[in-house]
Amino acid sequence: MEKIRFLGITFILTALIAACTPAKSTSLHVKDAWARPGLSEGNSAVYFVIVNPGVGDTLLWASSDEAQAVEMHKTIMEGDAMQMMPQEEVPVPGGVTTFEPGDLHVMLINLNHDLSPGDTFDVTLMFKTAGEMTFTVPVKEP
Amino acid sequence: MNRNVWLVGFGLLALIGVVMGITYAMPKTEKFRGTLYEPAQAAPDFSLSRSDGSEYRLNQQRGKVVLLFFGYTSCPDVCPTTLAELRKIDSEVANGTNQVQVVFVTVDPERDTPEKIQKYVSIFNPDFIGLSGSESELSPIWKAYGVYREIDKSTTTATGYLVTHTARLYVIDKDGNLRLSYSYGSATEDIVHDLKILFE
Repeated sequence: MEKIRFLGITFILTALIAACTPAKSTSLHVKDAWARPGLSEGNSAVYFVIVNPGVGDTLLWASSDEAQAVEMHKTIMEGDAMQMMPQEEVPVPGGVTTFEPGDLHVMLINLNHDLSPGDTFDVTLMFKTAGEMTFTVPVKEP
Repeated sequence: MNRNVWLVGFGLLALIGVVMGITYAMPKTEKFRGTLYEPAQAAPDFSLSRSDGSEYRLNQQRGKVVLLFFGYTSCPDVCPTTLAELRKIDSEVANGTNQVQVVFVTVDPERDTPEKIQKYVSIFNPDFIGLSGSESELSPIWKAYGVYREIDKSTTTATGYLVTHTARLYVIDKDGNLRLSYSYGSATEDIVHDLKILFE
């Protein structure tokens, strides 16, 4: 009887601990998103990290209601010259793909209103395999 | 024998003392971390109209260190990244004084009016100066500072067109000399280090 009670308590405690411990994501997800401040009718950029624990995927497009147009770009430095290249799609291999200043970024073109530090808005990414993913982006000073 | 040993020893000590004395007395050359223009050369002067109608002339900025950068307001990445870093640098070096002046000159006069570029830099710091003008006014300035600039209208983009441009930061000292420049991505602490030397 004592043994059964002990096992029962152990089982309940284990279940409680498991419920409180955050599960490690096993599917593609986006984290650490942020956007630059910007002026109405101007442009801004959104940055984030894509974590892909599985096989390779492809980011097909990005969208947001904050701007008239949304494009994916990559900044390329050739010596001292900075060039931006629109990306039709972005490979997302297994591992981490980072959109960061001086590299890949989502460009918000012709903002519908000012973006000020503290604002938040949604961005949607479409992956070939993982499908559509919407997340909230905070506007902040880098 | 003992006398000779003493003489040699004394001679060596004297030599060491002389060398140390010379080293101490020599002027110390600070080591800059950016690209140093040596000898220092007068920064190419220029004059452009500001958004309020006043004239900005570079050679009238003596007494201040000018941080000069060329870019455009439709650029969402490198240009705002640099301006955000310049805000940090200005805050750390100038510390509330007006000893540092950040000047952002457009490479896209077709879209960047004086009003638009001034409004753009003001979101980073209201004391930053944004300058534009006609292409005939700007072109000699780009050339004087070695700024490469190419309009790309062949790439399809909702922005209309993109501008490839030199993303180098130029530092003009308090005497109006072009002293240093930094490539994009240079460490902020290196720029701060060098500016503090210029203020000594």
